[in-house]
Amino acid sequence: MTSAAERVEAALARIEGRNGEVNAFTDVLADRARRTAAALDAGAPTRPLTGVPFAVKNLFDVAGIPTRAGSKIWERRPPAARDAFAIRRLEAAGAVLVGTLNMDEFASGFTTENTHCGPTRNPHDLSRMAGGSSGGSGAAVAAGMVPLTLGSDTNGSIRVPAAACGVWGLKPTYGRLSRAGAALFAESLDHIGPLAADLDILEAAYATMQGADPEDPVQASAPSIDPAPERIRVRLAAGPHFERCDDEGRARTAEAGVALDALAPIELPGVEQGWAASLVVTLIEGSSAHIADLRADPLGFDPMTRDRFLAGALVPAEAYLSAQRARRLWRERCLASLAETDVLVTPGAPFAAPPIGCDSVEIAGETMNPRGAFGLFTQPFSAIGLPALTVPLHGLGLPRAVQLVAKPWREDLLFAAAHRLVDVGLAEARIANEEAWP
Amino acid sequence: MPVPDDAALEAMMDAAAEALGLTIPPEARPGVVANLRALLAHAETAAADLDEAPLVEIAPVYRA
Repeated sequence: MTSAAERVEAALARIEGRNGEVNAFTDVLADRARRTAAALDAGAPTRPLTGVPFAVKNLFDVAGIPTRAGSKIWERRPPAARDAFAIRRLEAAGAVLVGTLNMDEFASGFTTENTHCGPTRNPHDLSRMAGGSSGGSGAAVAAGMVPLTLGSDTNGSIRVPAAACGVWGLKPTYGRLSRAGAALFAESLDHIGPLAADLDILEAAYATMQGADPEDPVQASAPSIDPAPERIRVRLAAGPHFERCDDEGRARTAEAGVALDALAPIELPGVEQGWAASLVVTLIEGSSAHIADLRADPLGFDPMTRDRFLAGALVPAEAYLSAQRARRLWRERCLASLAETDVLVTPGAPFAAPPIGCDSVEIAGETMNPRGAFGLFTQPFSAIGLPALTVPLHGLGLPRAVQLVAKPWREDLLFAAAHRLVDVGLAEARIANEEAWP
Repeated sequence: MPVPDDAALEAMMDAAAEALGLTIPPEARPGVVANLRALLAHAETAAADLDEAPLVEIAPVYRA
């Protein structure tokens, strides 16, 4: 049996070999990882994730280093006193933290073109974006540097890089996983979750991170739920919002629908308002969280973040409250639309990863800026806290993915549908490293 | 609320920034204006159909 130390050394060697070109890691915690692995190998009983090396988006607190959240401003802060709740849970299950990962500054963005640390590059084509804001988390898995990472998702920041890099990414129900010890971007929208090279590791990490935590006021206990039905009712999302996707994305989504015996597609009235509302709420909450730094040191921000946050600070309160009403209305309409649906299928993203620096793509006759449009299909569902899973699709060329969405607390149905896609050979993480893990 | 024209938008931006004690660096001004205009347009889209809107609930917590 492979020791934890061997797995950790393999991860460190892969990071050493690949990170220079991918730029996923911002800190490599080799000493800590070796100590943890040695303790595991010294006789602790085998646990669900024993010896699995993992890394976290650098907005998670890691004891002994400042939590920078992709920024330069926060590098001046004191080191974190202890690890984030999710890290503690994963390490208690035997996983070994090996480092922290690049991201869009303060999680504001979908591309991980970080001005301070440089862009994270897509391991499948180094000229292309990794997605964001958890771009380091997606790229580290896709490059085969680690099999498991953590990210955060406000509007799609786990699911977008998972889709762009071709790995699994889960955003659970809002409140399912404690965010304590993770720097928040927009607190009424923020979730944390895992990205992984393998569906089983993703599920194990997700299960491990659950548990009551009074330090996150929105963390809630799951209600008792019915067992998964024998036949899961799957439908594709239809209507103009979901047609804003390239031909390949639509074709691959339809293929997933066939594999899941999808029923008639459904439209989701109000999705456009829900999407717009999430944009407004996000930037106003994000600005509010950073107002002191915006006053004291506006030039210390990444220019893209600074311009967004300054604008968000200047929006009248009426716009925020109207957006919150619109968000609630979208939630009621969406849940009503999903009454006869267990799992909704959408494209993972409207397009494959664009080149780094690209600010316009032509999709279905429309010119879009990928820095916003990457989240077209993820954003409406995080806005109302529904669980969603990015499923990487088998294939050649740049990775493509579908997104599965369920009603609150029904992550089990997402996993059931995902396993079906694996079983029929349609779903598979795309790892740009053929070397097997020890 | 409708998106104001350029002059009104910049006047609103400057007044709000002053009230909040924010300084908009000159190099940031075009980006802030563009983002503010986009945000107000999104706010208008979001508010297009609120006749039957329920009360505000800040975060979507699904408690048992």
